[in-house]
Amino acid sequence: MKTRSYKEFDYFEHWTRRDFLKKTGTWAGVGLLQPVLSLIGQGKSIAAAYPDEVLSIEKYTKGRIKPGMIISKENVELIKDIAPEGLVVELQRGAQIKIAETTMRPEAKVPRFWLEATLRNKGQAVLDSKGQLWHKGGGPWTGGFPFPEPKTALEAIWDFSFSPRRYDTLRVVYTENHVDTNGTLVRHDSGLFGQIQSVGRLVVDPKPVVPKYKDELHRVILSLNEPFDSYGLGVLTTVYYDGSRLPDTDLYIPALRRTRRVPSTQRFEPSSPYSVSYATDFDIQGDPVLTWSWNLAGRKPMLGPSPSNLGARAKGAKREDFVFPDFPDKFPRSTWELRPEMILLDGVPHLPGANYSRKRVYIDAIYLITELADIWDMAGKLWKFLFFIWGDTGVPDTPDLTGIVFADLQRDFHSNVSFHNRIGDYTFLVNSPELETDNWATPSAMLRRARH
Amino acid sequence: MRQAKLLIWGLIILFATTIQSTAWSQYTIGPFEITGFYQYTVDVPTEHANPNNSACLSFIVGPFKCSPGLQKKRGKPDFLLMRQLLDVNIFGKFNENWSVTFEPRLFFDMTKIVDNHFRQYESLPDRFPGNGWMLRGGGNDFKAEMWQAYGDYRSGNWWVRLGKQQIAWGEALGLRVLDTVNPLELSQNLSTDRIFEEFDRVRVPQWFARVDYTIANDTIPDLTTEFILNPGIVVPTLLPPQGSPFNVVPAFLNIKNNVKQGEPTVGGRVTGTVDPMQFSLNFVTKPNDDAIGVSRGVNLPACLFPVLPPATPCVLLNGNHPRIYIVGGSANYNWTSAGAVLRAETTVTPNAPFSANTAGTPVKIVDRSVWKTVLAVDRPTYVIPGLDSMTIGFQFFETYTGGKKAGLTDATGAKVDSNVHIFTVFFQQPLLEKRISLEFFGLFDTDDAHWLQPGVHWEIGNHARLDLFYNKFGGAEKRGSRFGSNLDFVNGPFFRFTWGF
Repeated sequence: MKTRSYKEFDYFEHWTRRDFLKKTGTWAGVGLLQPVLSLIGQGKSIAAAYPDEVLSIEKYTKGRIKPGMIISKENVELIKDIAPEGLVVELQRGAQIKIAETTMRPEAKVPRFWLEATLRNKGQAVLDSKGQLWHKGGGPWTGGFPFPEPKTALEAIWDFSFSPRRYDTLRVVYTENHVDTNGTLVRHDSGLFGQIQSVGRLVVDPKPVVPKYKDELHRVILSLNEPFDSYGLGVLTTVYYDGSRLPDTDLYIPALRRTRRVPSTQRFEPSSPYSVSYATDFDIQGDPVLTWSWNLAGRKPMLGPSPSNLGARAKGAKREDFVFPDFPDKFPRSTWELRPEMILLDGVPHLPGANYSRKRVYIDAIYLITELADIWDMAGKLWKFLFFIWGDTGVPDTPDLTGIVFADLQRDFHSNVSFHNRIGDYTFLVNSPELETDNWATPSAMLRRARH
Repeated sequence: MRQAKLLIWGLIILFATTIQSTAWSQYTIGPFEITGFYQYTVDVPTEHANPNNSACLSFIVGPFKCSPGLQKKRGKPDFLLMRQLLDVNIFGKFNENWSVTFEPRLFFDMTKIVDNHFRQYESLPDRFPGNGWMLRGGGNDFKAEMWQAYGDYRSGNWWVRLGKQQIAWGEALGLRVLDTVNPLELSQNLSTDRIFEEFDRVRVPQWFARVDYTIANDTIPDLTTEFILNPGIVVPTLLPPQGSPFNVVPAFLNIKNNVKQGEPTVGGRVTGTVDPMQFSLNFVTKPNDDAIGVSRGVNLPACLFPVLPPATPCVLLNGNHPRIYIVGGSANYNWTSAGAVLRAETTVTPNAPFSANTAGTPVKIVDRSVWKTVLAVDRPTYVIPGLDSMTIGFQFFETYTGGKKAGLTDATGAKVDSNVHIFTVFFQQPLLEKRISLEFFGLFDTDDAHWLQPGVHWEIGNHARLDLFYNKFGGAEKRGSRFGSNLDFVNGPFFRFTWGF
């Protein structure tokens, strides 16, 4: 029997031939056997929701890709049909990834309290005629995934954007390396990122809404530590519940010794010198949901980052561990796995100054988070690849981001972010009552917490 | 020869710092984070000598140019400033409630070493009673000071900051309307530094207790009251010494700065948000920063024979700092549909002091009410296709002085107008992923005075920053309180190399 080379291999063709769609009725396009949520509710493995073929990369690729295998420019063709376009380009240029078994535990990337709230609140979310998310009883959504089995693009993006980090309050410490095309580290930033949810709060009182801030989704705080001339710079972003309203931005600028409100329209330009990331790229989709239009482009099994990528929290990790170790590399090595169902959303921005023609967001249908996006410029040429990694933070039942890659594929330039549990006096903190809006996320709070 | 040597040394330092290994992150010692920068600045004049250094007065011939006057050598100097500065920020956080900040600065002013146009003068002088509280010491060229030193206590809705600190209020940038709590140190920066950095390097920190309390309520988010008290450690506006490159006091004049210690500065403000507006209501009372001159006679020999010696002043003034009261407020509005933020700021000083002159001699201080208002708009705009948006800021500033103005002069000795109107524009166009910024600041006084500052700011990696700017003052307006041709002696480029850590 003649064996086709991987260059001839087309997984989509293979997939279609097996005709899962016909076998599994009208559930999602990847052949869902039963709803994932009901399995989670019964404490069962999500493996029962999908055919075996999409739970094992080895079976899915007929043995051509196996867990433990390293994918590089030498064999990138093997994965080109199950990977975002940006990842393929990165691999062709020298990136390397390791393949792992598919993770079956939703709580690997979603905290348990969030899953429980999803079960509790199932069926209570509605979208109005403008696409705005509400609770069926009126008022803002009360927490958990509003649409655990999303049928439309808008439902899927609301699932993620309502509370991208899931926690009522969050504080993380990060370092960011900007690496040029030659692999040279050209700049290093560090700071603190915080997010305080105003609605959909599940753990920290007041729940589910902070009455004073009921018109807001959340507030985001960014406080920079490096480089020296950014030391003490604070950025406060107020994201409104109204998905069509642009956020408010206040800065604490050390040189001015005061806070200053600024327009928040500069969303499609570097967030800092050298940076690949734009404000619109934060959390993959940093703009309010309804300032973009969304289309469901498909559902299919695809590669996604493994929760085993501990990033900088993996103390002593080496490059060959493939856990997104904290080295100032152009291509930090990471581990990927076959995800049984990825929802492909195409978003088009409708904001002034937008220089993206399209962004394809890949939402993992089990985790209902997005870790991957490809972005095309106005000429339709692939421009950026965003890669956000969720994983184990070392704190029990507290999965969160462990790393980010912002890759400018046209300039071959990277901004790579690592998250840490502690730098200096900053510590990783979630669902802490200490992180209160009035104490952390107001102009006067920025002033009194200023370091310079 | 000396110039060449110093320039070479400057370049060597630049090179040596650039080739150091890239060790990231700031230094930490126990709970202290240490950041800061070394900066080498060269400011070169392109037009003419400072006329104030050669402005003599004779009772026989009247005002005349006594060149070289207070300079050692006549003519345009080669440098306005050649300075090395080390500015260190030490932040120590002991727990969530307590922290301390220290900001020592070391200056080495090489201007008069490299430029033999100048006689010896004291760089960064602080000659007034009570100057010990400035924590500044050194000689004519080298100065060390504890610029800021304060402790913070935060607990719940309370925040207390005690110590030597800057307090900045208001919305306007580069125009001091509400931002008048602290005086300015102008002895090396007559508004000629990079305007984007505003007053941070020259707003003199004073000894204050600053107490903030955020009032919990459901109506006005972030409603915060602030009380400030300086028990009476007074610092006036610090001017360049006579004979120095930036001198603004004519050579024939001597001003004795009568700074009365023990005069407190007391104030407060209320800030909050009423969506979509943020507001502040402010009050402060303090001794006037600028000295208001009152005659204490003449030095007759110097007025008869002013050139022998040239530095002997003819007219003697007492510089007084009467108490003033300032009330005002500010607001901003996020005009989302226009992608702009609108700002307004206003103050009324009912007893702003002026000199009342008789026959050209300031004989007493009188009060007039002064109303200052700024209206501003900031709007990022995509001007050049394919580039990031340009930050565009526009400000309109009006100063209205009430009452009779005949015979009145201000702190600079200039006649007072009822209305002064100023427009400012600021453009910042980032290039190359914001590594380079092209900047332009323009200030236009409707009485025909202008100050233009185009420049380039370049960020190189984590540590190096380069600035090349040009200052251009001009126009027919020559009064000392305006930004016109009275300042054209500082026209020229300035270059800064900064190495941060």
